[in-house]
Amino acid sequence: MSAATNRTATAGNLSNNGNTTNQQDPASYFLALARQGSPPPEGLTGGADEEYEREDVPTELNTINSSGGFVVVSTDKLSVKYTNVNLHGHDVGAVQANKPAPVKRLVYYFEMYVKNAGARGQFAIGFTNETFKMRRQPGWEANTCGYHGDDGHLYHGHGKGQPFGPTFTTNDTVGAGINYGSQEFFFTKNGAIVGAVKKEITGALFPTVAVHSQNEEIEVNFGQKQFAFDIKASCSFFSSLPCFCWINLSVCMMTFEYERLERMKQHLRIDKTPLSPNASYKLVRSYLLHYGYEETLNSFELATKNTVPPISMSQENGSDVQDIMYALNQRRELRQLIRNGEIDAAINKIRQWFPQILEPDYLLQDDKSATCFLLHCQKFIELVRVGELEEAVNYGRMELAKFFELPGYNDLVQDCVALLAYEEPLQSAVGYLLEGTQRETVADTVNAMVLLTNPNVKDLQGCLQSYLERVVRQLTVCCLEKRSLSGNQGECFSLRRALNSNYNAKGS
Amino acid sequence: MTSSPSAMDVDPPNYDHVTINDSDVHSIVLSYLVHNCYRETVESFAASTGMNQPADYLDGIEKRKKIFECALEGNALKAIDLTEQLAPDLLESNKDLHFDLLSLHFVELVCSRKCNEALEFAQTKLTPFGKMQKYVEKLEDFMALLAYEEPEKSPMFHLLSLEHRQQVVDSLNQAILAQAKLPSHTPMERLIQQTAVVRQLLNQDHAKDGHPPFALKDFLNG
Repeated sequence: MSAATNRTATAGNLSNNGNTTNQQDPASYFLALARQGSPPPEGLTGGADEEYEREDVPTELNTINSSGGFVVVSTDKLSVKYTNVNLHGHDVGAVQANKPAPVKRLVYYFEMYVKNAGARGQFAIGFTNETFKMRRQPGWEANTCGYHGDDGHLYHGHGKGQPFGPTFTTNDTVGAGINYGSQEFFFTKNGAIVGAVKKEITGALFPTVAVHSQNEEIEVNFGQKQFAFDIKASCSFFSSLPCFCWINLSVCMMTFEYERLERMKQHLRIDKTPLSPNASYKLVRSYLLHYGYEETLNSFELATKNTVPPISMSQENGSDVQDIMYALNQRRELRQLIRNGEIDAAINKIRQWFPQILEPDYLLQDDKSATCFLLHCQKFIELVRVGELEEAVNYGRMELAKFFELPGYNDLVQDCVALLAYEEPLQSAVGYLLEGTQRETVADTVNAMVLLTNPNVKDLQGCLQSYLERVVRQLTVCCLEKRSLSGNQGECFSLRRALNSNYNAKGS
Repeated sequence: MTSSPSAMDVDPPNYDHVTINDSDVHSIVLSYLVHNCYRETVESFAASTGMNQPADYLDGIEKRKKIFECALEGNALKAIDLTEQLAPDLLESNKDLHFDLLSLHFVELVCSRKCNEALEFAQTKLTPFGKMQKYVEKLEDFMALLAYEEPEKSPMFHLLSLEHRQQVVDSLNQAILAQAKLPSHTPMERLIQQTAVVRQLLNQDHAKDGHPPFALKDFLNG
């Protein structure tokens, strides 16, 4: 993801009585936006896409908390053998993985291979929570789930299970997985799905295996070897990587067919959603109108003149279109001037056409104009850019000094002034001010403020962002919300992935 | 809370505190323009926003545009030729599309009242498809056009329409893009559909009473 401007709407003057009608103060919105390029302070999380952090994955068995004395775990911590003679229901040799199953993905899966069925073949595979008592079979206790080899039953929190699948024994490979998309546990035997159950347990879950009669021995596979269950290893290269490399989400997403099918299901659902005709066209057009890209708009209208079926503009809510066509020509000109760094010319034009936006902010009963301020900052930046440092200092004294103590404004002023301190300002922490994106932000601010001067304006939010951005925001937020409803399990939201329709491609 | 629920009232919390990346939005718009071969608009947009001019995109656009123009004008044979040049084997692996394009030419001949030529063309190029059941019905529809003095007045008149040609062109576009490993459906469309789907899922999960189901149209108008 490139480090372009992000638009985070920070607190501002949000009315916080639960009323979600976005009464956002445009001044703070844009002031915050102007500092978007600056490196975030330590520990502050950014947008949804930043969740591609490393997540620990199970790599071996946990020898520290396993029930003492009943089992022996091999030195490589990938095999377990029951050495005792079992006498009752509280001497099970259960072993958890060293880490809980990772949650920031669509599916997690692991396998167990039965080397020796021992005296009674009473092994199990499943998931247990942190407080699980290792002397019991997974599934016999609350917040645990287990598929048992001796009876083929599924145990899901009680001592009594339900018929689920076939039994399993020596030389069988069984697998257990969590599907975060459907919130289910699923189990496999020798490469085929046995079944699935709804997962109601929340919180961290540890892959767990158990043995319970003399000489039972099993081996676990946390991904260090190829799985028996339909791995269409798209790259044999990946299966030879040490398992800690599976932390990389994109690698994990290439793992197996089950996951691909899950994704296909999701995509099919989206495909079937009806799309109102010209929805895309409308969003693009309103985007271009909103930001004043007049030339592009003209090209666009010319290109779409002869579309089949013809786009009927009469379907538009008439007044909406009027609103964003407001002052299109002037907004386009202002944007061009600012993009070229001609701030003085821009200010002159604004004084000519929309002097009110440079006035103290009557909306806020404030004696400062954020628009004016941002333009002055940009002028300062432009002077620094061409090396006119003395003039910049004078200008700063004249126009920016008064904002030094003002909350909301002082951060940006300090950053601007800091530019003077460096020989190579572009390489510094305040280098973002010299990027083209900073000019864009100022242009967007002026654009929004001009739109607000429209006497017919109804919707404040509509002046700050175009419809297209609002839809993107809706999508992001809904996905995040949905994920938080499943206890923050499942894949992190990625706009790129969400908008990719090539689901048949491996690793997409 | 306001008295009557509107589309905005059921927004999830944190609606305002979300990062939107400008370059993501730009690329959504750009890919829509590229998909539809709006070359001048692409150039203008890239220049206005300071995006890098995607040179290879523009080349692809021109080629695709030429193909679609031919097909829409009724010059299906040329369109097929150009498609073979741009994406060899595409039509081989997309029999449906191949049939549709060939039948466009057939329709063109019928409309120009060149019925003998049309019949000959159909017998050499279209009837071979009839070996597969799914084409038989389509074939019958097309051949039936020959029976009418004024095919525009026949029950199959839609096969002569510009809308039909546009549909074929759209499928062709998707196929070419898919082969070039570009998205066959624009991210813009996915955005709209995805939003509707997720929003619906949220409404289901929340099972709030009295809130109307999410409709994108209302969201955009409200």
